[in-house]
Amino acid sequence: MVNFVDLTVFLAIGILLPAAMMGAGALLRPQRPGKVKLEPYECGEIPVGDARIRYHIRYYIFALVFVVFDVETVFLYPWAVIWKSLGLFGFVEMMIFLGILVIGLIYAWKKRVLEWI
Amino acid sequence: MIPLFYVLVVSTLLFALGVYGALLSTNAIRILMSIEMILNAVNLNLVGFGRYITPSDPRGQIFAIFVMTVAAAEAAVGLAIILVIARRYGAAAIDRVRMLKG
Amino acid sequence: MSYLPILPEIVLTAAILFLTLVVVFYQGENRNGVMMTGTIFGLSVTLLTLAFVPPFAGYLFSGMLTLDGMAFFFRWLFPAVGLFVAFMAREFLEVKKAENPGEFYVILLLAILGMMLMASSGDLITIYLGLELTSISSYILAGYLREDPKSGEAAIKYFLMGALASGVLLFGMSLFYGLTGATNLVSISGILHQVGAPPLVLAAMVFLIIGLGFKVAAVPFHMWAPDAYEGAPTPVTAFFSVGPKAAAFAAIIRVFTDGLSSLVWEWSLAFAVLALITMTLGNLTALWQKNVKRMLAYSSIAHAGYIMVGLAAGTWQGTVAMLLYLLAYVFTNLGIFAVVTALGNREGKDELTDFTGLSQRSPYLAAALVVFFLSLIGIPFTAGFFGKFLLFGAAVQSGLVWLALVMAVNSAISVGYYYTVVRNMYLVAPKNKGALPVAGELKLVVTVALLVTLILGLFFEPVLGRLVAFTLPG
Repeated sequence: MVNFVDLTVFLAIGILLPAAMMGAGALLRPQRPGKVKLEPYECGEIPVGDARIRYHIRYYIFALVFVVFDVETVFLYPWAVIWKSLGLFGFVEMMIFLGILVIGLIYAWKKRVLEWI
Repeated sequence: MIPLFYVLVVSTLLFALGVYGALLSTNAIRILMSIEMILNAVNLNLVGFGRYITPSDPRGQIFAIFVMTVAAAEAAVGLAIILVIARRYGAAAIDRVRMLKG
Repeated sequence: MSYLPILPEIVLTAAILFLTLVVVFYQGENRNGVMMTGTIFGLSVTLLTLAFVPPFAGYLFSGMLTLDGMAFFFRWLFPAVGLFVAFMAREFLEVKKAENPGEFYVILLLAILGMMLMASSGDLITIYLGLELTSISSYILAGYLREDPKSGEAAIKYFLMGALASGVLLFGMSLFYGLTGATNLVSISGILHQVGAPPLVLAAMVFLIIGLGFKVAAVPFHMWAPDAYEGAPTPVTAFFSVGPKAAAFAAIIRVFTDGLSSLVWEWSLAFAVLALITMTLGNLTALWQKNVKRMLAYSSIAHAGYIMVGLAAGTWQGTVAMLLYLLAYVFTNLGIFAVVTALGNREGKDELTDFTGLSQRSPYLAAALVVFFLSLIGIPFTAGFFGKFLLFGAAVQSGLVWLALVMAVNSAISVGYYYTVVRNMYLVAPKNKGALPVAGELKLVVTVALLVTLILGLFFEPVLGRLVAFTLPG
């Protein structure tokens, strides 16, 4: 039950603190609205066009390749935790696994999936 | 500690929602998302059982890792297929794809 | 840890990796032919390794793999299927102007590796991995002709239904893990023998039956099959109708006879009902089809129904009968699809009317097709007869006389739609005159399939003897 009291206090602080800070800011700052201030911030660039445009098909393939390679690295974590006790055998096994991934990467590379347009 | 029962309630709800969405959606992306939900229900089951039934055996967690990686590969292939369909039919609405009768 | 017994799989994996590199680094004109040769070579070396690796029976990698007679049977069968499909694919890919013909072979080999893993798995994890390797490769193969809208439609339907089925199957597996605390099939079997059959175990079993039922296209779960079969490229349809289907049956035998052996009464009853509706509905719907690939899809659904009779029997005789039937069905069906491919490469539409006058245009293919159909119906002196005969016997032995009778009636119904093709070939005047040009490797495939069908039909006893010796319990 103690845990839930802690949690409630934490939640209350989490809600109240940002509300208090933003409220204080709204009360203290000078009110000068302008059109430029409402524009989306793009690192100083002037935003052009709609955000919802059609992306080039290459971006999807890029993302798909990324997802697959990204998830495969999850196997490295359990291996890394116990790799000392696995010894040379485990090392060779993981190198074979990585070798297979590298062949996949070479395939994607030669198919020119990795080129940015 | 949370009892195993709570874990199972959540996973069963996820599974039921996933099956419901997969069977009744007409949008291919939404069906794919529902299927991913089923796989998440499975992962929750596996990790939950692994924690409560066999605490000394990491088998359930390993199974869950395999399910996650395979699901990623499956999603990649599925999205590629959906892309091909979407380019032809203009949308991922699966009910428009009916050249083959059935 | 010994790697020697799985040397064939290692060889196949090495071939896959090598061919992946060949695809991107070899840019010559005849890529298609080079890749086919490489695939044939890889599969042949796999089969040779399988023949020369010292025999090993038992469990590997702490029970992840079970290498027994059944595993040996399927590990031999699947690369052979791959050889047939690779031979059928080359001319087809050329005629249809596939954009990337090379990758087709790599993905085919990946599917075969998954099937071999599935047949020799001893753990729910390996079954799942093998199943998904096969399924994901199959989705890509179904949609291989990107410019053909039918192919894309086949791929998306197959993918969505297949992924849903995998999810349901996986949920059942996770429940079994929770109920028994094990993923190894032998451990699961031991624990289930102690606890009996509480309702939750039965519920989990239903999930497994639904998931695997999707994969073999048993009737309430068959909706994807006709569309996927009709839309997929013809060599891929040939592959679907034998490869992933036989592998799914191997997984069913593994899960249910190895893992759930204590629940044999419950699941054999479920499979008896599934077998009944699957073969009846498959055969009746096949009668109305106009497209030959769709007709063969329903025919293959019906054959899945026959094979499930072996499961309904629930005995090891049933298992032997299933394996022999699969052997006969696989080679017969590959032969039929080789003829369909040869015809489709020239006519392009795969309609039943394309077969008109085939007896004049290519007497050899027409005659071979008749033999294949006789084998599928189960006429004596063809391979299919002994498969049906053994299934019939196994069903009667287990007291399922009604199911055996339904099977006989269904075989009679199936004559109807096979006869339509035969009549078109022999009694109807040809639409397009002139001899049908057939590629050399397709003729080879038809001839080998024909030889296997006839040799199995005439001398089935040694084969049966080997199979019995393989699968005899204990």
